[in-house]
Amino acid sequence: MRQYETVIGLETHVELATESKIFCSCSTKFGSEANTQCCPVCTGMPGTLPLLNRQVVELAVRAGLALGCTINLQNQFDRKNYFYPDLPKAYQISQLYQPICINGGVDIGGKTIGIHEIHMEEDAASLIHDPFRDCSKVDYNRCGVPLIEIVTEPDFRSAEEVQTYLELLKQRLVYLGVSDCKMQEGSLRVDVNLSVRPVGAEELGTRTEMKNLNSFKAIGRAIDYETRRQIELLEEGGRVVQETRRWDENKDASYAMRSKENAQDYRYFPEPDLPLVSLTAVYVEQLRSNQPELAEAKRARYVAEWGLTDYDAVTITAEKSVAVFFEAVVAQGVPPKETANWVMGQVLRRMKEEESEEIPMEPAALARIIELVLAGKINRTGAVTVFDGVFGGGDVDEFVADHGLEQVSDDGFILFCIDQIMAEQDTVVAEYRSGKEKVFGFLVGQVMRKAQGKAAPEKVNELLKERLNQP
Amino acid sequence: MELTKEMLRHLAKLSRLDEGAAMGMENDLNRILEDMKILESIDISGVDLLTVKEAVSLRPDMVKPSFDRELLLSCAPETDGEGYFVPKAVE
Amino acid sequence: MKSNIFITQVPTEGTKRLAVKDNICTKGVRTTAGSRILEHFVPPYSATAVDRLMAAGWSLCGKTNMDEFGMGSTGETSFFGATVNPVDPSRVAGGSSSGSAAAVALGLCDAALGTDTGGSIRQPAAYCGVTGFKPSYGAVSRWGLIAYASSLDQIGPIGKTAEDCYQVLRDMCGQDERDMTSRALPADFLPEGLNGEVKGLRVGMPRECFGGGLDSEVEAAVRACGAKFSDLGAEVSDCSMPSFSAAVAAYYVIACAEASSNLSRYDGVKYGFRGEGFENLNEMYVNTRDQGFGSEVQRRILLGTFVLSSGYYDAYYKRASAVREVIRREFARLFEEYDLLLMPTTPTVAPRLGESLSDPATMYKADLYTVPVNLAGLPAISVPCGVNRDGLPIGAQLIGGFMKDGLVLNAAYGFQQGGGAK
Repeated sequence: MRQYETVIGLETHVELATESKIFCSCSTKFGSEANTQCCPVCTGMPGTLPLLNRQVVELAVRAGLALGCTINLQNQFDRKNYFYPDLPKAYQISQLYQPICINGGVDIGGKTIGIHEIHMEEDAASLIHDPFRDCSKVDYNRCGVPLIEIVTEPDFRSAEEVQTYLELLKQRLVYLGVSDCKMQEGSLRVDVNLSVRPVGAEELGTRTEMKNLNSFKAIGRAIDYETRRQIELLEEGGRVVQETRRWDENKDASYAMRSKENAQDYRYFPEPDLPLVSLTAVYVEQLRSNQPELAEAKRARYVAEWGLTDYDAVTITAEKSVAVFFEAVVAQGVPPKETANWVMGQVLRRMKEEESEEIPMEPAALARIIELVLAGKINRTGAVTVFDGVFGGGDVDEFVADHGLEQVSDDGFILFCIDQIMAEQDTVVAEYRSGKEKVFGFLVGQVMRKAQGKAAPEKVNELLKERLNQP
Repeated sequence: MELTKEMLRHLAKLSRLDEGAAMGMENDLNRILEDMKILESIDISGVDLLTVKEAVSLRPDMVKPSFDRELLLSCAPETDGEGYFVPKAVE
Repeated sequence: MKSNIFITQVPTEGTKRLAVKDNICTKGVRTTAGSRILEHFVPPYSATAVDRLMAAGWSLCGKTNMDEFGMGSTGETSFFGATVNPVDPSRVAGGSSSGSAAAVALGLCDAALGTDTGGSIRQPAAYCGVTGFKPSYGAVSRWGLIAYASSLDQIGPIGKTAEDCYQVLRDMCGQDERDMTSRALPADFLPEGLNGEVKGLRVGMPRECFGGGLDSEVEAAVRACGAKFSDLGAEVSDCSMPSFSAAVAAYYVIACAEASSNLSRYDGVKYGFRGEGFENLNEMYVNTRDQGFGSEVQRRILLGTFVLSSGYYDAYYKRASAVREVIRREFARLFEEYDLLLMPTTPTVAPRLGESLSDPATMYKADLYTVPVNLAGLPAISVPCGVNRDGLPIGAQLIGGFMKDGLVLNAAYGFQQGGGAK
């Protein structure tokens, strides 16, 4: 059998994190009741006109800059015409002839993936199938949510490369504040264009497009499936048909989508209701100069300025919310390394338990806990109790007081406990004084218990040793 | 440019009009297209369409209250008060 | 109503009665665009122009009849029946603002709103013997105007005189944040009042506009208008517009292309008419649009779809857009030498009912004087300048430079005050 190589290009749709839709002032909030975030514009009513949201342009430029693109200072919108119930105007306002960003590249480690273009467009409505009436119900809430579509060159050669690119892309876009990139909520959607060709061949094979890929894992499986399918087809002497295929999670296979006509002709032409998007070089440079710090830059900074290890830096910057939280705690004035341990330990633990990317805790609260520990005011066990107690909110000092977790470093109180224990455990004391050093730990434990956890262990050790060594 | 019945059928499909009615307009449409040949005789060198358009002014990213759902749905041909019904859309 | 002027009448007691063409949305009042597909559509919003006019004291007295979606030159494509000419009921009122022009002519309102994409205000004004003005593109908001061709459509006033038109325009013009194609108006857009001063105005009469096909009585009346301007102190002379002959072709390519896209939203899903007898989604679309649209609209949709389709886009749409720019530049150069251009509004007087629709290619060619103006986005007015031997009205057209709306209205006012035919 011949050796084949897989050639893949990706089209990624990203919902932009704006407050309002791209062409009207309706909210973009996810998850509201059907058709409660709509207006005549986003439902395509007669006589309505699109009004371009400036934040959409800004986020598109930021994304383009972070992906190494050239920004088209003069760019325009075009109409993409086709009929479907999720498209109220029966055309989508998109960009074809002059998209906002072109000719970028993303380094995935040892290789650069070319970005062909990035363009702005509006999202379509959602269709729900109603089984009782055997018809579809349209919800226009999502209609008009701003999207950017990021189109790569066919530079991928494996599912692993695709995975690396997508993880990097997601991280970058989240760090930029461009999108929250949640595949499960539809704010990141990936279509895969795949073809195969014999190794060494110059020409590209016929490609298919795969849709409905709802997770990075599904993308990997779909790539494997389609590669096998195409190779088998070619080996049998058949030809790959250029078509769109729908990935079926349950069946772990893709199926050709029924196409209503031979060829879809979208009849793109410049959107007459929207004048040219005209940007100045100054505007673009301003955005370039105040781009939010990306993960790579943060990692370098943590290592150089705060002496964190590479491992620590990578762990903390994996999720933007974690990095932001970490920096906010350090900004309160507590040591970065100590903070890093807490973040990588307790904070990540709680996030995993709650299956959430959000951190409800106040950065000031963790800073306070760290302060108290370092000052010896609470011990580490007590600190974890406080942490869990105030993770969802609450005052640290109040919690410490309410739960009696404050350590006493008052020598008098500790000596009092020590004296009591030494009196109660006189035989053990005698054993220690006769040379049996390992009973020291037992005595420390007894003193700690007598002090009801309020004694600083270091102080107990110090003072007990002193007392025991006194005749 | 001659429009054939086959082309008209395709155009009707694209625009969701009746194919028979479209094919019946063959003569009229071809006569109209004949009159458009004059466009080829005008010198268009030196025209750059991209620079012709005015620049757009941008809207601030602020949410304003949406339309009352009931009001929007009052125009709908078929609704359950929550959404718009259409015959099953095939993927 | 026998003369079919209003689609919906609105009882009103106001003194400034405004009739509004039925493709302009009026909140809570049926708005049909002259089509079956919107026969029962009641918009939950009003056009900006309507809001502004109501706020300025005008009151809505009715929604006027029109060619379906603005597509037509006679009023005969209306689903609700043609509006007949108030002067001669065997003839058409013109289109597409047929009802508005007729209503003004018959005194059923104090002024009316029409819309003009290729002449739809000026031409029916000429046929009905009233004054109709198309503002510069972007001077009046298109929010709430049911779109025919987005880069060409404008709302404009129709009245007995230029003064009436001026009053309406003043109350509705100005940039609208809901329409990104609307413009900030220059300070000299409209004067505080019209003074009719035409002395010294340089008026050009393009010789290409006075060629074959132009009815001799129409030509005579328009030339007389030119002579009148001369008497009033204007400098009237010959000039040339070489690309004039290509304007109709460029217009119909662009207008039909934009219309084919603008009318796709009428699919029976969200509002309006939904067709009968369908078994699946595709049939619903086709039945809705086949039953809902008249044949002129369907013809233009097909034409528009064709000129945008793959393989034909460059030769038709792109080329027509470039020709449009050539025409715009030609006008701009003329307006360096002239303040106004004077030409006929139409090549003939109003045709008889039933004569035009069977030959659309010929019907389209009759728009030759009005469409160049829309392509260039310029302000233009049609003023009555006489009648023919049968008493049928003739209109003369004055065109001004971009955003020189005040100058055009003032010149028309001066002509009418100076004894120009009313």
